[in-house]
Amino acid sequence: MSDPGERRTPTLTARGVSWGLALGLVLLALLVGIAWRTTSAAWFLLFPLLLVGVLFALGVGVLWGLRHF
Amino acid sequence: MEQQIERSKVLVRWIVAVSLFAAVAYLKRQGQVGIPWSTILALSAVVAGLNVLYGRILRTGAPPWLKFVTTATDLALLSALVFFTGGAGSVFYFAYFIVLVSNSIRYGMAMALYVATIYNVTYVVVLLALPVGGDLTVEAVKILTFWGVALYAGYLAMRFQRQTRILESYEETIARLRAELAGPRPAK
Repeated sequence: MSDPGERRTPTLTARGVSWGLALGLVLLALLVGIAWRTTSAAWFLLFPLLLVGVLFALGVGVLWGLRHF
Repeated sequence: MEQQIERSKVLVRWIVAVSLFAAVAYLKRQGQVGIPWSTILALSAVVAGLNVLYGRILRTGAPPWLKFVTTATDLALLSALVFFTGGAGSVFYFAYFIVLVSNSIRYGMAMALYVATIYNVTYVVVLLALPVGGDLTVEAVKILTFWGVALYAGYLAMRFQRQTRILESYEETIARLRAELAGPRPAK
Protein backbone atom coordinates (compact mmCIF):
# COMPACT_ATOMS: atom_id res chain seq x y z
CA MET A 1 0.00 0.00 0.00
CA SER A 2 1.26 3.46 -0.79
CA ASP A 3 1.79 6.07 1.89
CA PRO A 4 -1.31 8.33 2.05
CA GLY A 5 0.94 11.36 2.66
CA GLU A 6 3.00 10.62 -0.41
CA ARG A 7 2.44 13.01 -3.33
CA ARG A 8 1.64 11.45 -6.66
CA THR A 9 3.79 12.57 -9.54
CA PRO A 10 1.50 14.23 -12.10
CA THR A 11 1.50 12.27 -15.33
CA LEU A 12 0.62 13.54 -18.76
CA THR A 13 -2.18 11.59 -20.39
CA ALA A 14 -3.16 11.54 -24.08
CA ARG A 15 -6.49 13.09 -23.08
CA GLY A 16 -4.73 15.96 -21.24
CA VAL A 17 -2.44 16.61 -24.21
CA SER A 18 -5.43 16.63 -26.59
CA TRP A 19 -7.22 19.22 -24.46
CA GLY A 20 -4.01 21.25 -24.24
CA LEU A 21 -3.59 21.15 -28.02
CA ALA A 22 -7.22 22.18 -28.54
CA LEU A 23 -6.76 25.09 -26.13
CA GLY A 24 -3.52 26.06 -27.93
CA LEU A 25 -5.33 26.13 -31.28
CA VAL A 26 -8.13 28.26 -29.80
CA LEU A 27 -5.57 30.70 -28.43
CA LEU A 28 -3.81 30.76 -31.83
CA ALA A 29 -7.10 31.51 -33.58
CA LEU A 30 -7.76 34.30 -31.06
CA LEU A 31 -4.27 35.70 -31.66
CA VAL A 32 -4.68 35.71 -35.43
CA GLY A 33 -8.19 37.15 -35.10
CA ILE A 34 -6.99 40.04 -32.93
CA ALA A 35 -4.02 40.73 -35.23
CA TRP A 36 -6.25 40.71 -38.30
CA ARG A 37 -9.48 42.38 -37.27
CA THR A 38 -8.97 44.59 -34.23
CA THR A 39 -9.44 48.34 -34.44
CA SER A 40 -8.14 49.06 -30.95
CA ALA A 41 -4.47 48.66 -30.03
CA ALA A 42 -5.49 47.82 -26.46
CA TRP A 43 -6.27 44.26 -27.62
CA PHE A 44 -2.56 43.82 -28.37
CA LEU A 45 -1.98 43.78 -24.62
CA LEU A 46 -3.29 40.19 -24.71
CA PHE A 47 -0.46 39.08 -27.02
CA PRO A 48 2.00 38.05 -24.28
CA LEU A 49 -0.59 35.77 -22.63
CA LEU A 50 -1.83 34.34 -25.91
CA LEU A 51 1.66 33.74 -27.33
CA VAL A 52 3.00 32.07 -24.21
CA GLY A 53 -0.16 29.94 -24.02
CA VAL A 54 0.08 28.90 -27.68
CA LEU A 55 3.79 28.08 -27.45
CA PHE A 56 3.34 26.10 -24.23
CA ALA A 57 0.38 24.09 -25.52
CA LEU A 58 1.93 23.38 -28.93
CA GLY A 59 5.33 22.64 -27.34
CA VAL A 60 3.80 20.06 -25.00
CA GLY A 61 1.88 18.57 -27.95
CA VAL A 62 4.96 18.28 -30.15
CA LEU A 63 7.08 16.79 -27.36
CA TRP A 64 4.28 14.31 -26.58
CA GLY A 65 4.16 13.38 -30.27
CA LEU A 66 7.91 12.80 -30.23
CA ARG A 67 7.48 10.56 -27.15
CA HIS A 68 9.58 12.88 -24.99
CA PHE A 69 7.41 12.30 -21.86
CA MET B 1 28.99 38.16 -13.21
CA GLU B 2 25.78 40.20 -13.21
CA GLN B 3 27.71 43.23 -12.00
CA GLN B 4 30.07 42.89 -14.95
CA ILE B 5 27.18 42.55 -17.41
CA GLU B 6 25.35 45.58 -16.01
CA ARG B 7 28.56 47.64 -16.10
CA SER B 8 28.97 46.73 -19.74
CA LYS B 9 25.33 47.75 -20.32
CA VAL B 10 26.05 51.15 -18.71
CA LEU B 11 28.85 51.69 -21.25
CA VAL B 12 26.68 50.55 -24.16
CA ARG B 13 23.86 52.80 -22.90
CA TRP B 14 26.19 55.84 -23.10
CA ILE B 15 27.15 54.94 -26.68
CA VAL B 16 23.54 54.32 -27.79
CA ALA B 17 22.27 57.46 -26.00
CA VAL B 18 24.89 59.66 -27.66
CA SER B 19 24.18 58.08 -31.07
CA LEU B 20 20.44 58.55 -30.69
CA PHE B 21 20.91 62.13 -29.47
CA ALA B 22 23.07 62.89 -32.53
CA ALA B 23 20.52 61.26 -34.85
CA VAL B 24 17.55 63.11 -33.31
CA ALA B 25 19.43 66.43 -33.35
CA TYR B 26 20.36 65.93 -37.03
CA LEU B 27 16.80 65.00 -38.04
CA LYS B 28 15.46 67.94 -36.03
CA ARG B 29 17.81 70.35 -37.84
CA GLN B 30 16.69 68.84 -41.16
CA GLY B 31 13.07 69.36 -40.11
CA GLN B 32 12.24 65.65 -40.42
CA VAL B 33 11.05 65.17 -36.83
CA GLY B 34 8.81 67.51 -34.89
CA ILE B 35 10.17 66.81 -31.42
CA PRO B 36 10.90 70.02 -29.46
CA TRP B 37 14.48 70.73 -28.28
CA SER B 38 13.26 70.88 -24.68
CA THR B 39 11.98 67.28 -24.97
CA ILE B 40 15.22 66.09 -26.60
CA LEU B 41 17.23 67.63 -23.77
CA ALA B 42 14.86 66.33 -21.09
CA LEU B 43 15.03 62.75 -22.44
CA SER B 44 18.83 62.97 -22.73
CA ALA B 45 19.06 64.29 -19.16
CA VAL B 46 16.90 61.43 -17.84
CA VAL B 47 19.02 58.80 -19.66
CA ALA B 48 22.24 60.38 -18.41
CA GLY B 49 20.92 60.71 -14.86
CA LEU B 50 19.73 57.10 -14.72
CA ASN B 51 22.99 55.85 -16.22
CA VAL B 52 25.02 57.71 -13.59
CA LEU B 53 22.73 56.29 -10.88
CA TYR B 54 23.13 52.73 -12.22
CA GLY B 55 26.90 53.22 -12.35
CA ARG B 56 26.89 54.26 -8.68
CA ILE B 57 24.74 51.30 -7.62
CA LEU B 58 27.10 48.97 -9.49
CA ARG B 59 30.15 50.18 -7.55
CA THR B 60 29.10 48.10 -4.55
CA GLY B 61 27.43 45.20 -6.38
CA ALA B 62 24.50 44.27 -8.58
CA PRO B 63 21.18 43.77 -6.76
CA PRO B 64 19.08 41.03 -8.40
CA TRP B 65 16.33 43.50 -9.35
CA LEU B 66 18.67 45.89 -11.16
CA LYS B 67 18.67 44.13 -14.53
CA PHE B 68 14.87 44.23 -14.68
CA VAL B 69 14.74 47.92 -13.70
CA THR B 70 17.44 48.99 -16.21
CA THR B 71 15.73 47.06 -19.01
CA ALA B 72 12.29 48.48 -18.19
CA THR B 73 13.57 52.07 -18.02
CA ASP B 74 15.47 51.62 -21.30
CA LEU B 75 12.30 50.44 -23.03
CA ALA B 76 10.15 53.15 -21.41
CA LEU B 77 12.54 55.92 -22.51
CA LEU B 78 12.78 54.45 -25.98
CA SER B 79 9.00 54.39 -26.17
CA ALA B 80 8.95 58.06 -25.16
CA LEU B 81 11.39 58.79 -28.01
CA VAL B 82 9.25 56.77 -30.44
CA PHE B 83 6.15 58.64 -29.24
CA PHE B 84 7.70 62.09 -29.72
CA THR B 85 9.15 61.24 -33.13
CA GLY B 86 5.98 60.05 -34.79
CA GLY B 87 4.70 56.97 -32.95
CA ALA B 88 4.17 53.96 -35.22
CA GLY B 89 6.02 55.66 -38.09
CA SER B 90 9.03 56.69 -35.99
CA VAL B 91 12.44 56.05 -37.49
CA PHE B 92 13.67 55.12 -33.99
CA TYR B 93 11.37 52.10 -33.74
CA PHE B 94 14.27 49.81 -34.67
CA ALA B 95 16.19 50.86 -31.55
CA TYR B 96 13.89 48.49 -29.60
CA PHE B 97 15.86 45.64 -31.15
CA ILE B 98 19.11 46.94 -29.62
CA VAL B 99 17.61 46.54 -26.13
CA LEU B 100 16.18 43.14 -27.05
CA VAL B 101 19.35 41.62 -28.49
CA SER B 102 21.63 43.20 -25.88
CA ASN B 103 19.63 41.72 -22.98
CA SER B 104 18.58 38.40 -24.50
CA ILE B 105 22.10 37.37 -25.47
CA ARG B 106 23.41 38.31 -22.04
CA TYR B 107 20.69 36.86 -19.81
CA GLY B 108 18.86 34.19 -21.85
CA MET B 109 15.28 33.17 -22.57
CA ALA B 110 13.64 34.51 -19.38
CA MET B 111 15.00 37.99 -20.07
CA ALA B 112 13.98 37.75 -23.74
CA LEU B 113 10.39 37.08 -22.65
CA TYR B 114 10.58 39.94 -20.13
CA VAL B 115 11.88 42.39 -22.78
CA ALA B 116 9.21 41.31 -25.26
CA THR B 117 6.45 41.72 -22.66
CA ILE B 118 7.62 45.20 -21.56
CA TYR B 119 8.04 46.22 -25.23
CA ASN B 120 4.54 44.90 -25.99
CA VAL B 121 3.00 46.97 -23.17
CA THR B 122 4.97 50.19 -23.79
CA TYR B 123 4.46 50.08 -27.57
CA VAL B 124 0.71 49.57 -27.11
CA VAL B 125 0.74 52.63 -24.82
CA VAL B 126 2.44 54.57 -27.66
CA LEU B 127 -0.19 53.31 -30.14
CA LEU B 128 -3.02 54.28 -27.79
CA ALA B 129 -1.53 57.73 -27.16
CA LEU B 130 -0.89 58.35 -30.86
CA PRO B 131 -3.51 56.27 -32.69
CA VAL B 132 -2.70 55.05 -36.19
CA GLY B 133 -6.35 54.85 -37.17
CA GLY B 134 -8.01 52.28 -39.36
CA ASP B 135 -6.41 48.91 -39.93
CA LEU B 136 -3.94 47.86 -37.23
CA THR B 137 -2.72 44.66 -38.90
CA VAL B 138 0.69 46.19 -39.71
CA GLU B 139 1.16 47.12 -36.05
CA ALA B 140 0.14 43.63 -34.96
CA VAL B 141 2.69 42.15 -37.37
CA LYS B 142 5.37 44.49 -36.00
CA ILE B 143 4.65 43.34 -32.44
CA LEU B 144 4.53 39.67 -33.41
CA THR B 145 7.79 40.01 -35.37
CA PHE B 146 9.41 41.45 -32.27
CA TRP B 147 8.14 38.45 -30.30
CA GLY B 148 9.56 36.12 -32.96
CA VAL B 149 12.99 37.75 -32.76
CA ALA B 150 12.82 37.67 -28.93
CA LEU B 151 12.02 33.96 -28.85
CA TYR B 152 14.74 33.13 -31.37
CA ALA B 153 17.36 35.26 -29.57
CA GLY B 154 16.33 33.68 -26.26
CA TYR B 155 16.61 30.19 -27.76
CA LEU B 156 20.08 30.90 -29.18
CA ALA B 157 21.20 32.34 -25.83
CA MET B 158 19.85 29.24 -24.07
CA ARG B 159 21.83 26.97 -26.39
CA PHE B 160 24.95 29.07 -25.92
CA GLN B 161 24.56 28.95 -22.12
CA ARG B 162 24.16 25.16 -22.21
CA GLN B 163 27.30 24.77 -24.34
CA THR B 164 29.22 27.06 -21.97
CA ARG B 165 28.16 24.91 -19.00
CA ILE B 166 29.28 21.72 -20.81
CA LEU B 167 32.61 23.35 -21.63
CA GLU B 168 33.05 24.39 -18.00
CA SER B 169 32.39 20.85 -16.80
CA TYR B 170 34.97 19.53 -19.31
CA GLU B 171 37.51 22.04 -18.02
CA GLU B 172 36.80 20.99 -14.42
CA THR B 173 37.23 17.31 -15.33
CA ILE B 174 40.52 18.02 -17.14
CA ALA B 175 41.78 20.04 -14.14
CA ARG B 176 40.80 17.23 -11.73
CA LEU B 177 42.49 14.56 -13.84
CA ARG B 178 45.63 16.69 -14.11
CA ALA B 179 45.68 17.13 -10.34
CA GLU B 180 45.27 13.36 -9.88
CA LEU B 181 48.13 12.65 -12.27
CA ALA B 182 50.41 15.21 -10.63
CA GLY B 183 49.64 13.96 -7.11
CA PRO B 184 51.55 11.22 -5.22
CA ARG B 185 51.18 7.77 -6.77
CA PRO B 186 50.48 4.79 -4.56
CA ALA B 187 53.54 2.56 -4.02
CA LYS B 188 53.46 -0.82 -5.78
